[in-house]
Amino acid sequence: MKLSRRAALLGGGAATVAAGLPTLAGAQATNIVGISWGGPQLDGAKAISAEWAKTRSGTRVAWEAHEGSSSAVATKIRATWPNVKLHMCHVNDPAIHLMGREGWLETVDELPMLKQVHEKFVLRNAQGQALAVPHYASTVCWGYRKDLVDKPITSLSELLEPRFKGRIGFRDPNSWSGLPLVSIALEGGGGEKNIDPAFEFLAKIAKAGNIVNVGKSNADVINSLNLGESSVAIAGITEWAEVAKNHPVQLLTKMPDSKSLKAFYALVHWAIPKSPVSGAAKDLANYFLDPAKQTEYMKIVGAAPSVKGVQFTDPLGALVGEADLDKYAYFCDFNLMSQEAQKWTERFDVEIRPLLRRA
Amino acid sequence: MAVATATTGFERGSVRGPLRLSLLLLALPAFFVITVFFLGPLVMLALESVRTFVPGRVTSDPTFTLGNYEKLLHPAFIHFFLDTFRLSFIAVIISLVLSYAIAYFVARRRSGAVRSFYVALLIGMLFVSGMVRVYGLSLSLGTVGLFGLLREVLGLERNNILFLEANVIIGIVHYTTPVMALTLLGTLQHIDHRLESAAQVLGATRARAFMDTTLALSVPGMTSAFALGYAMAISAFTIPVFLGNGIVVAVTMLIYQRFSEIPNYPFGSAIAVSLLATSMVVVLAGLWLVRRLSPAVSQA
Repeated sequence: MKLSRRAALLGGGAATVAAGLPTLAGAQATNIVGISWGGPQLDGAKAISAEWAKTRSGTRVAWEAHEGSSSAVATKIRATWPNVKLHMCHVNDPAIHLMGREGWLETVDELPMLKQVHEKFVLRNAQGQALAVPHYASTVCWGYRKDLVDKPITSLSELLEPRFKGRIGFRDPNSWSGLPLVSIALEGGGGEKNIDPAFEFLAKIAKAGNIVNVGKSNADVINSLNLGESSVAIAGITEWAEVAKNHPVQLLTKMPDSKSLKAFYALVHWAIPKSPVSGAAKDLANYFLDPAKQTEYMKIVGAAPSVKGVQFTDPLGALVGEADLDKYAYFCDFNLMSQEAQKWTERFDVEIRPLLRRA
Repeated sequence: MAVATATTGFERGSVRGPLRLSLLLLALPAFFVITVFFLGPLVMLALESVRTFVPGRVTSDPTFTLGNYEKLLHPAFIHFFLDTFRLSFIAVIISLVLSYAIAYFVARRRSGAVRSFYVALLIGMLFVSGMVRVYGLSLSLGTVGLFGLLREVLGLERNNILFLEANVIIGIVHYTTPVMALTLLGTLQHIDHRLESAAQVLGATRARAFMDTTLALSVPGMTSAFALGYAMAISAFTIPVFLGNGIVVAVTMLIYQRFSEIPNYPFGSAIAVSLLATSMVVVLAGLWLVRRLSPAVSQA
């Protein structure tokens, strides 16, 4: 068969059109990109979003994992704004305050399931509009490996004792916008508004050589505790759950006489940045609040649901019942902390890190 | 003759008229790419570094300030810079010795197939993800690894700074050695090994023959490998993060923190610009020094 130049051009043109058809079809699809923490959170998010996507033809959901603090999402969005590439962000309060101040977030008051959420969990802007969809409540707390600590810890001031030399795993000071610092400040009578006691105490334990590492990520903290490098640490509930799979742990959340050993509540929300697919993203966030999905997700993650009346389990005793909230729980002022975290981090760099090197 | 003519045609200052215009036009795409993708971000970084940080905001205030650079004059920040340069220098000197030995060994294989095999091994190391390599090292050097056992035998604490710095140095050596060895291999392969034999025939000892011929002739290659390795070491991020336990602090960690976690773009940019500038000064000073010493080395 002889192939003429005209036939080749026609054939090529037809092939190009045929090849382009799936792309055109794909252009009509809704592609949502979400971000959550790696591990159980991401597993749960993937499972539930896959169920949701099955009921919405032409909709796909892809997931990314946080590489550190959830506030890093704000940096990623700034880099491409207004072309948003992350449509559903699983974040803590500080990230919402950061993005809310920039005017990047959709308000979510119209979501039907939001009415079923504990009102104290909802973050609102100055106009009273809900800025994000509260998904679950997690806690951050001090704890230790029972097999590596000879006698129980009852107060943070015990961390100065020589038995903890090279045994304490501290956390990057900007984790949860400075929550580790706030927890220590409380011991010395300070708090979010007076962080000085935290630096005074940290300087003492750093000089004593008791801090073995300054963990940056979940993996750092879990590995350090699992390997026995550190025996005492401040960590999130999911991190403690991972360590508890291998070693006996004691969480210091229900200490009636302690000012600082509390269950520090860190809420996790779905923040929806303004984008062409924010309608679909809101719908998915609403789906996550369905009581059956909340139960399913909490089983995977081991946290407390944001929706009223949903049952959950707490094998580690890291969460606090409603009756004991005032006694054992601490709700940080994350709005203030998100503005102070930068100053605290710099102070940690110049006051504490040099001491850690010399210890 | 044709080659000679062409070479003469490209000598400095000898290109005239239409040929010069053609060359400029040919260079235009590369110039455009470098301007847009390399210089552009650097200029933006420099501009960001003189903006004012607003607490609690992701975006910065365009008001001009040098305050971000002033903060770097605090002794703690000066120490972070000095530590980064010191650890990188020690690690790259060790890498240079190791990579020279590897490159020399490979270059002196007679069989081309054997040389190719070793080159493939070196390149293969680069295909393993940096994260995987660092996690592997972290397990080997950490509490439960061999290095951890050695630390216990020596009676050192887990947070001993020398132990942690040694971890970071080993990590950087692991990271830079394959690249430096490949760089040196190119140089060593082009040095005629018969020069060493000739020197020995003329009465030089084996060591003296090596020093006066191969080593002296490979100084330019060593300089390039050192500059490349040093640049890699200074900009390494995952190695100090995972092997330094948050106690050994590299400047790259401070930059990441300000760009990704707090976020404070202006201060992060000021640190990045300062690191770039100081690194360039250090590398250029090193190259200048080597050039000054190089004739002495070859005459030794």
